[in-house]
Amino acid sequence: MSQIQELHQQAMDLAEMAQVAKLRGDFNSASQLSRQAFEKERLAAELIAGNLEAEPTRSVLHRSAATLGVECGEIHTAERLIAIALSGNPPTEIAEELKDLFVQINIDKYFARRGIAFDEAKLQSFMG
Amino acid sequence: MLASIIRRSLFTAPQSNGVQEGYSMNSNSKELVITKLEQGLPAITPAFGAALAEACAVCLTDQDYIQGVELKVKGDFTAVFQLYWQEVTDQMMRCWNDSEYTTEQAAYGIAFLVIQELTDYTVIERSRRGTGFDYWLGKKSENNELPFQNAVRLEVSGIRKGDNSRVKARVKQKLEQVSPTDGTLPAYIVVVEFSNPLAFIVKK
Repeated sequence: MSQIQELHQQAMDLAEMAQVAKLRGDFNSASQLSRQAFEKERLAAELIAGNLEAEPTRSVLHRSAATLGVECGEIHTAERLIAIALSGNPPTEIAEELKDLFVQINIDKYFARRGIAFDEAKLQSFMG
Repeated sequence: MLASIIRRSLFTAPQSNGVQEGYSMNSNSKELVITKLEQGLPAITPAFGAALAEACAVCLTDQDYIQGVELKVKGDFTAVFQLYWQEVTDQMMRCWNDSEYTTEQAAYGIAFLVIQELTDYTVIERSRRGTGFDYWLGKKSENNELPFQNAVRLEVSGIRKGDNSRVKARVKQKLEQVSPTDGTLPAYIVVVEFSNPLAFIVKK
């Protein structure tokens, strides 16, 4: 198993453990496990960042690391990961998911800059 | 009770009458033992597989089917499977009281089993997209150095009770969702309908 594969697997295991901890109400452990998962996935993504041909692995790992980053509150790092992924050759579908994630991270700030209070619940009900 | 007897017989040694395990006497239809989900798949833990099997059992029992009801596969594949599931208890009915959620989970269960039977793929990972229920399929025999190489996406949708036009509309919706253009990532779209058991599969 490659180092990238191994790191990704560890990250997924940690992310699953974080979910279980959250379900048990152990938010402290959940937070720690989420951060560990994020660090592992970020490392996996970094290892493949220079290989623009390794798609969809490159973009999927960046998207996954960015998603975990958002869960940990690492918004700036998540944005950077999205940008790196988009700067390569992501498949259309993954590129769209990356853009969606970027919007998700920034939509409230976008409205705030225009003096509008963003209501996530209302948006969800509108979309649902 | 019948389901548990069937399950036991299918999980044990080949039948003494010479019938190949997992296949019925009718050469045109295979048996699909839904409780096999309890064994798990590369990306499905046995516990989660058991939950999916429960959801399937609730959906099928809700339609008053008897064991062995035929599930037709249409679209890019043509097949017929006889379905076998576990006995549904009152506790299960209370647990799976949300019809929409149960149908969705049951559709995953059916889709995983049918894909396993009809293709070389299996479920290798749940997508980390966040809210979506999007899975990655990988070749059963392949062990790539990099994750997601040669992987195929799986999009599943479930309908508890709907006619053909609703199934087709859902397939169209999923096709649009999966690929606005002809993307580079292949995808299987599986729509499962439970009132006239059908799995409509499209490969994009």
